[in-house]
Amino acid sequence: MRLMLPDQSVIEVSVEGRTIETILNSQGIDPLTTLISREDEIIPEDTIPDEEDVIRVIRISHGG
Amino acid sequence: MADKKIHCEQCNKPAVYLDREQGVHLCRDHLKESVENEVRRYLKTKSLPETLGVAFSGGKDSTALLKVLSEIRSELPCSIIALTVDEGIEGYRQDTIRAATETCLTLEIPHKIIRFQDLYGYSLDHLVSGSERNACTICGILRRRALEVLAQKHSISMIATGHNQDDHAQTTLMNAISGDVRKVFSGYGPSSWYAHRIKPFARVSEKEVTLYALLSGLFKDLPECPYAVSSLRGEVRTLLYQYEQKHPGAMRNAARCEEEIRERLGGTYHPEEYKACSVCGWPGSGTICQVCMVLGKDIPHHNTVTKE
Ligand SMILES: [Zn+2]
Ligand SMILES: [Zn+2]
Repeated sequence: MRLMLPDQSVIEVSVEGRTIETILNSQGIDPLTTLISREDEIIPEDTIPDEEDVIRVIRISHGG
Repeated sequence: MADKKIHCEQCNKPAVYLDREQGVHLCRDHLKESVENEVRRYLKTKSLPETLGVAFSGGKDSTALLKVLSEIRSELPCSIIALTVDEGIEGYRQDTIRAATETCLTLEIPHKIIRFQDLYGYSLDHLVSGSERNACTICGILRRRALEVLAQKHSISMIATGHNQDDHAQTTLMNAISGDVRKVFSGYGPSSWYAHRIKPFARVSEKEVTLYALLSGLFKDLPECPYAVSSLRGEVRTLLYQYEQKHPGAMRNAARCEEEIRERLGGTYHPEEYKACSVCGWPGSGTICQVCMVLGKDIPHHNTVTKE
């Protein structure tokens, strides 16, 4: 699957049956500080994505 | 590949949110409903004035709060007015103020803005440039006063802020680290001078608040404040998230810790008496208030607003 990071960079990650949460953690991203979207729909972080999925990571900024 | 789409616990629509502590998934409608219900519950515990001010920065938290209040406004015994402080931060605040104005127009909520430049004679950028002190500290002191001046101008005795559960957990930990017990109680006692502050999102997580703003179509990917780069709060925030991941519920417990201390000890704790500032007359802890100290104390009297 492809992971679109908040800084606009895109990385290719192999899912291997893992949840998005586990994948994010392995990339050093804290899943609690992000929202996840797939095809413009927000999905929970315990979703197991498809290898073909493009997952966008939205950073929750502090404040406001 | 088997795609395991996750569904709402309550209606079977696609889930957008996982409540990690309960292990429950919610769809967009039920997430929105749960946030609104929590605000309803919270507001029922308060005696609301005729007009409730909402401290509205234009950021995600206060935007979500304004949206919730506008959704449930027919049930509220009060009217709502949005209060914005324009600190004057070049390259950041113009966009967020514009977003704030647009949101108020969309939600049909009256909007009042006060500018540092008009109240103090200077923007935050100017005041920070010559100071050794941390920009966020200076800004916090001046913003609090500015909001108070704006509230008094419109006879508002109660202000709701968008502080969420994560903010409270951070504050609890920061107060513990600094060992400042007074801070646990400051701002919570009765005061005839300052508007009473309420925090309807005290039990709503930052993620829920952000989702609420996003799902309402009001979330704009706005820039972060350029001054908020490194702070103790940022460090504490990272720490708490790491802890919450390993121990779901830790954030909530930390947030409620101070709330409970206040509930149990509030009546027995006697805060220090306010003294009137010798320069501006506003109540403070010393002979000269924090605002006057930040401003170099000899501000002209016409720049200060005193309560009639
Ligand atoms: Zn549902
Ligand atoms: Zn003063």
